[in-house]
Amino acid sequence: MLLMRVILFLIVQIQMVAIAGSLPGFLREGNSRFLSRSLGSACFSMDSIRRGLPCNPAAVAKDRQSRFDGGLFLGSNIDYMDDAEKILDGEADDATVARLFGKRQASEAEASFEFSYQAAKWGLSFEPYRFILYTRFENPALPMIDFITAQEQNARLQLASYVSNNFYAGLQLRYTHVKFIGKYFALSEAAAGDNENFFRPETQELVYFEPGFLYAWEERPWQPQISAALTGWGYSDRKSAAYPIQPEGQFGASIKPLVPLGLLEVGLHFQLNSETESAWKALRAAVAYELGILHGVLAISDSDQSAGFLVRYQSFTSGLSYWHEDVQQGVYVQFGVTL
Amino acid sequence: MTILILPFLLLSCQKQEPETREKMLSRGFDMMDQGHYDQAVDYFEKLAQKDTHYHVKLAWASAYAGRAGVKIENIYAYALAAKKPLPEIQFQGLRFDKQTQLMLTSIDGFLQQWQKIPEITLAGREDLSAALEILSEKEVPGVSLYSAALRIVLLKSYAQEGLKNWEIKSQGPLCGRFLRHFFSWAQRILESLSDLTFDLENSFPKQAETYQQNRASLDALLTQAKRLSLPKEDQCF
Repeated sequence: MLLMRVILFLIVQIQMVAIAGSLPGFLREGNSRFLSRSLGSACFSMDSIRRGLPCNPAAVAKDRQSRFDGGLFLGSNIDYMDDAEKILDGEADDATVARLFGKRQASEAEASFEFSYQAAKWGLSFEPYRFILYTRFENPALPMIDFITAQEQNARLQLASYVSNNFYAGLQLRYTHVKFIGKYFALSEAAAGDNENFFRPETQELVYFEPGFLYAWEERPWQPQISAALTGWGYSDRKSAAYPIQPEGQFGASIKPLVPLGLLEVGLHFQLNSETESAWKALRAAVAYELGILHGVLAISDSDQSAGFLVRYQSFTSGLSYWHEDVQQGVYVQFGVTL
Repeated sequence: MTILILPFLLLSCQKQEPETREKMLSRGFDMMDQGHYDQAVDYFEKLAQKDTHYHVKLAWASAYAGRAGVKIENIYAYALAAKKPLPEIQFQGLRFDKQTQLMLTSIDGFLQQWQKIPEITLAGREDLSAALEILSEKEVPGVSLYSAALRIVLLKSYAQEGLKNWEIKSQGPLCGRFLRHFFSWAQRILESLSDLTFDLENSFPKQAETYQQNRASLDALLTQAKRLSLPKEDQCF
């Protein structure tokens, strides 16, 4: 009996507590959120559905107009809250645990609001609050969890100028202050030992210098343009796995074919970084069509697809975007005002 | 137009970052997802030779555990059952029938928890032993806790085997040579439990004292058992 009680006492101590790597590049980009979610990297080469500052800083000089934008962006694809709650409450069965930790799709939630002002040769944007939650599970035998939650404040300054012969050049200075918890850990680590300090928040300051260039032949019927930019190139006060400095090269082109009704824009874009495996994987194609108050977008690459629309009524806009990637998908909404 | 190439020139100057540990681990986990546990075991073994981080050890051990059929849902099932508090049994002042009833209730509760612990095959037992060997090298709480979880599964397997053998042997005459065999089996179970207290002490340093006391009780029992001398002649009953 004594032996049995000792065994039971020992087993009682094995308790599970369901409580991250590198934040994916699309979550570290400094572009206006809805724009980059709908068009992806093709936003560097295209003019459509521009709300907030353009992705390519050189485009500020091409716009030649003043504008104020304010927007709220929300999105989530987290579908495991019920399962997680059951586990935390101790009400889950084996199937629930297997389903949650058998998920191979990354999950994320994002919320932000941003204000921006664009003048003829410069633009300024401020994102006082951005929240990100990113989780990914792997290993069915002992779940390894990539967990990142972050609160960011972002500021961007874009300076641009027309140089000559349809050529524009610009520079974006981007500052990010982030407070985050980023951990890659085994489930047994979260349940064991002194886990009070396990999720200790960290802070990081990042400054990016992102030059952009644009050739735009606006006088031609289809208004072709070619763009190039270097993004994510900068300085960080410390090295972290969650927010690495990983520069990307952006190169693309777009045209606006004449259609009987509305405005059509078609773009092709290459996004290259040190992890790009082939030109095909770097390629993205996007189509945007504007008719009256409705703006629709489709973008596709080897690994992801997105579709979105934006409705404009007077100064107000509202948008919905669906995004699907190999390991995740989500729906994002945007509410904005343009003055 | 040549200025458009500038970003790519700058990009090419960027130092190539080495592949992260997470990505290398992911490759092995993909093998496990596809059920290629043998491949995953070999892959993590090679990775552990290059990278001694405990995450690699955990991954390697989990590949063995996965091959043995021990997955997180199995561990969760008995860990959850174990969260229920055990009834405190006070025999004093109770009639014998009441004492028996309480004892049976307690045993029934224990059996319910015991049944939640997954059962493994003989090959699975070898896999779990290999996993425990890998985990024994690192005294990190998360590693020790996983070790404890796997040790309990292994312990059940040993215990059940012994009980099954006992059932078979006890059908015929009970001879001294069988008793000696079961006696050494019981000692091995006690030693495994003692090892479990080490795992749990590393897993929960704040409760170290409790586990040390448990270990002391087990060790005292083990010492007493070793002092017992069984008859050398092979008498049957």
